[in-house]
Amino acid sequence: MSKAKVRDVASSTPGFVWVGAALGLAFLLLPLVGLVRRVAWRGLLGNLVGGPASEALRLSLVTSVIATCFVVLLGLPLAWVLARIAFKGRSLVRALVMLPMVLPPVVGGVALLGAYGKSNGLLGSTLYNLFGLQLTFSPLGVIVAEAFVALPFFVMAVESGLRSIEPKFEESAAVMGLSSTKRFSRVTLRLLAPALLAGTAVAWARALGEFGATITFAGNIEGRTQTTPLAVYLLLESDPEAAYALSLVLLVVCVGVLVAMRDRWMGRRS
Amino acid sequence: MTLQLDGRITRGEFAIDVALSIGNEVLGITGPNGVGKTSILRVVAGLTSLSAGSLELSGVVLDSPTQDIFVKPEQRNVGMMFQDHSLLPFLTAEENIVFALRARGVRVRDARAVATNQLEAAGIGQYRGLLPHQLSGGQSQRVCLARALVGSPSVVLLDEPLSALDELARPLVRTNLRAALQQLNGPKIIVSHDSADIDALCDRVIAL
Repeated sequence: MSKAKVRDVASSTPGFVWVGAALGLAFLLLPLVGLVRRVAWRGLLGNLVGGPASEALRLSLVTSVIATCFVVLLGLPLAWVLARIAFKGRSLVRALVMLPMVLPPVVGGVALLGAYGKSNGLLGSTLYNLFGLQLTFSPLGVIVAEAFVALPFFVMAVESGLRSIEPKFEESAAVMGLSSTKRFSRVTLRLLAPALLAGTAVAWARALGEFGATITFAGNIEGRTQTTPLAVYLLLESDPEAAYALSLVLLVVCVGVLVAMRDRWMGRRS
Repeated sequence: MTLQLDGRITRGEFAIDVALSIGNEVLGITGPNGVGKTSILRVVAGLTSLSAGSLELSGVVLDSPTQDIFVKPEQRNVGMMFQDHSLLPFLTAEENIVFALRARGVRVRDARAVATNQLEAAGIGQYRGLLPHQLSGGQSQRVCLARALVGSPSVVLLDEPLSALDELARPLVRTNLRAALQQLNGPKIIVSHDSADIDALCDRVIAL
């Protein structure tokens, strides 16, 4: 069938929309072009391997992956409760869970200090006195800060995934004789897989890019708490080429996440 | 085996009082939309609880709000076919039937053999490797039907079992279903709008 151009009222676009849309797109793309243009392609590998850049990348990779595992372990039950259990104050709980998404990350870091700070944190002093565990200025603190800001992204994706599962699949599995635990693992998780994957990817990207809460709560110690975003910020002064190289890595990773998630987040339907 | 349902089903604003006694027979339930036919099946399956009264199978209480008894659906051994086809979308036609048998504790190899046989008997053996979204409405309905009848359920509940079949396929499926239902012991309930289906399949009919 040949593609005939259909004219209707909805598709006749006023001129200013085109101009605004083009400006909006340019506004978003220009900095990316600027970033890519400044990358010293020849020395790229040299800038990434060895020195503070590779230390920061290694630390970022390790902490963001552990933080993401933590997010999945806590976020899945949280999303389940928010999606499936009607209780008084559910919207309040949801708002609290989503709060780190809109909270300035620095404020998140200050809040984490208030909770897990070694000397006067709510839980931090107990952790230190009982187990000698110090979260501030340690890689563990980086993980906590990353998980704190990434959790809401995961919960949001998985909660909406759970809501979109029609009850009939789990109901028929129940009638067939599967217990609630088996229904969860054999039916719900399978149906939830795309949302789980999307939530995990977005949470990981968020953890990888975390800056404000990390520097406030865990500090900026090279090789210990200096993650890639912190290194980028510092290197911009001392070694701009390395800073651009690291920025490129983060950009590529984020584009990768978006490409992997395009079906779900960019409206493409299979 | 006798199923005794004497109670009230509440669904939002609506409530219906039902008194049914079903032995080793096929009971047809007819009636206009929204009158609560599907709700009766859901109560028997344990997907909804009674708000008053009781449900018993061969003297065993399955649901009784006053006695605070509610047997979960997974412990009732019911074979149920939902009106909107509920085949698991990530499993093929055959795997869907295997899944139902495995859930009832049948070993993998036996489950596969039974599933293949059932699909062949239903005349849809050639579609066994297809995913639900690749099946037509009628094919998917026949898989659902086969799935509801496997694994020797104590009670069979069929919600509009033949509605998606075209007029050509219908008579044969109807005959096969009649034979399959006769082989199964226990109470069987069919909800249907189609009087020809009800006449051909059921021993007794009630209109809501």
